[in-house]
Amino acid sequence: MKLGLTFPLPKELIREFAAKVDKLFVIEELDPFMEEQILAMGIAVEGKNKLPVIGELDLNIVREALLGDSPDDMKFSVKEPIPARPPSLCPGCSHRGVFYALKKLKLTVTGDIGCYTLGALPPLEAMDTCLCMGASVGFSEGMEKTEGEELQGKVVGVIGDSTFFHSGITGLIDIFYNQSNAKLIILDNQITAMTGHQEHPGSGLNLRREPTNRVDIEKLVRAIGIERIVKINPYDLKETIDTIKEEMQVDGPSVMIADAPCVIRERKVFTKPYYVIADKCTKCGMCDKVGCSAIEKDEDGKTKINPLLCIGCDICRQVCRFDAIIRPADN
Amino acid sequence: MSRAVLSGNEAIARGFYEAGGKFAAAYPGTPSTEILENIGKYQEIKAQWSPNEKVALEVAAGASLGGVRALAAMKHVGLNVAADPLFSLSYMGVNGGLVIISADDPAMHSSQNEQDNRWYAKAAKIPMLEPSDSQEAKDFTVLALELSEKFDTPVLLRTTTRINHSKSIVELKRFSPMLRS
Amino acid sequence: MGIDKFLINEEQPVINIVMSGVGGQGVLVASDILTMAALNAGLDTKKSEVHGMAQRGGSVVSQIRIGEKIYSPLIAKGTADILIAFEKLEAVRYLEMLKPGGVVVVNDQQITPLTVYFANIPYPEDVEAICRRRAGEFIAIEGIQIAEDLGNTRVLNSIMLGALSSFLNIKKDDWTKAIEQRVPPKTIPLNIKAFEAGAKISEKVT
Repeated sequence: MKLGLTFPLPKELIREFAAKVDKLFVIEELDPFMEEQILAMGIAVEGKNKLPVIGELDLNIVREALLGDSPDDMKFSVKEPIPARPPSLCPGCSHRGVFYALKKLKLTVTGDIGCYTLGALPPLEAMDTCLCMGASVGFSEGMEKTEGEELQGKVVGVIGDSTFFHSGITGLIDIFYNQSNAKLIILDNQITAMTGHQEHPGSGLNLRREPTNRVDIEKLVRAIGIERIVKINPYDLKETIDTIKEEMQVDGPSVMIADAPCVIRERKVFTKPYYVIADKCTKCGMCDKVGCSAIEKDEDGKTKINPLLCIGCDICRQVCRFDAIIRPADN
Repeated sequence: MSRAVLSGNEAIARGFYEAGGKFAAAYPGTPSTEILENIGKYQEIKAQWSPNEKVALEVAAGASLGGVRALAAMKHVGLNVAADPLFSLSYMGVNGGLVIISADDPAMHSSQNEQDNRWYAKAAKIPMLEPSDSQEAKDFTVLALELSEKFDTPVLLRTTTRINHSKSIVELKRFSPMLRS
Repeated sequence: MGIDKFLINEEQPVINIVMSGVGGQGVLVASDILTMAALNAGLDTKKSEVHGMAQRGGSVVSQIRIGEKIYSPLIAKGTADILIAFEKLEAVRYLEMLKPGGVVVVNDQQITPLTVYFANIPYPEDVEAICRRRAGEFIAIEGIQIAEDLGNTRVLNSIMLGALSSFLNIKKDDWTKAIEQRVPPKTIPLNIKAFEAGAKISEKVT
């Protein structure tokens, strides 16, 4: 039987059904929610003694758990290792420059939830914690207050604009109220990007994309009482690195706002695709470190740029020490 | 009567529309996001993004108190944020029907954790419906609003990613604003 | 040479199709069109997929089931009749879903994931040979070339659907209507052209 109302359980229906069968199994995803209640009704039932309490169930899992085995047809697998294809920051993403800078500066980064959580993945690997919506702010304050000398000026929180509105504001109030020195970077791409570009209080549009009131993040932060607020252009790596470095040294809290709209949302194209002069490429691997999926390798292992993906954000050119990556002439 | 291939999320939106729903709020979160996006396509319904799920549930509950059928949608962890109003709403009850969608994400396709939000129904002592395809997602949304008004309680509609994002054929009915009993 | 169309009848009440690719290739729109074509043909259909990562270059998979009556939207491992992959590695990744002797249709394109460089896991060399260990029929489509000839690489998904259509007993009209219902109005003629170009290639083997 399949239940539609699962709380409160339809106990009479379940008793009638149980009386008609030899053995009763509950097949439910995650916890033994129904199973425990049915057991408490005095009905012998099995389920989580065979089925997992984590993950989704599917036909293969249920079959193997209840029947012990699957037909051979279902056991095929490819022997060769299959490279994973995890999601990554989009080519041209405004978050890339900030994470490159954070890695370069070897800071301890308390992260948050959004597209930018992908900054935790290789090769950027510039996020050390991710707990829940807004936790970047409280985490950085707690660590800064307790970790002692070695982490002074080394911990920074990173949060997106939508997540800041969701749960970051109260944490920032705490930083000000309790006289913390914590530093915070707000990645303001002016949209809730991860879930597919929904509007939010700072985007100036409502759910139907009609104009509405807009909360200005900078004014909001200033109204809390934070005095040090700086803007970052994340497409300028040197400026980004220098600004973060300087702000990390200041006494008292600092909020850095990386102000750049989501390129996917804006369908932004900076220039024509960049290209590589193969003779100049030494295969040093520096451009690999920005983690852009438009950067590929030719047969010789030299960098080439996929023209279908590159939108000309310029980040890879700024890290190349051999001037091998070329910005196309404007025309 | 026409038929369409709808995702669970589109079907929930359609059900809310067919049931004469008037107010819906949410904070985006996979796999729940498209519920409000699709509700937003029905001009008869006031639909809005909230800064977080607690606010979404509060404004939806306020709309219910105001006498209209209301909906708040969120992903599983969103209900943690909205748990504070949830538990006391269970005491307070509703005027217009109030349905709360909890879109769980077993296997963490787009989440940091797994959690089984069916416990919220038991803990807050509110009824819970669980659809198994898009047709049921639509039908149960309508039923949830009816149960909510009949028993003077918010009702939890609990889905999983596979229900929210799977598509199947749904029978569409015309918009029929129901009078509140 | 040649394989039969998959007919929906007492012997085979359900057809299972796995469609895979890379975020941005249009897999989810293609699987939408497939289910709408099935609905137009008077069949029952369910499909399952996971959103969220589709725009960020991750692996994307959609499972589609078509028949007289469908219960689960999920396909069991080793029971897919057709695997249609928009990218070669994504054919290999989901090959375990295919039944022995099933059909693989693959767009002959390599999109190298970053993990090939960071984790040093090689991109599989001979995708056709790997697929043939399991598949009874393997068809490679020069999808990007055909799309470029048509003047827009974004119609790859309609080309792949056309290639798939030769294996299914769904009338051309039902496909055309589904395309009209799903793609932006301006692009309808181009998508139908792309669909026809794809169908032409796979017709040869059915």
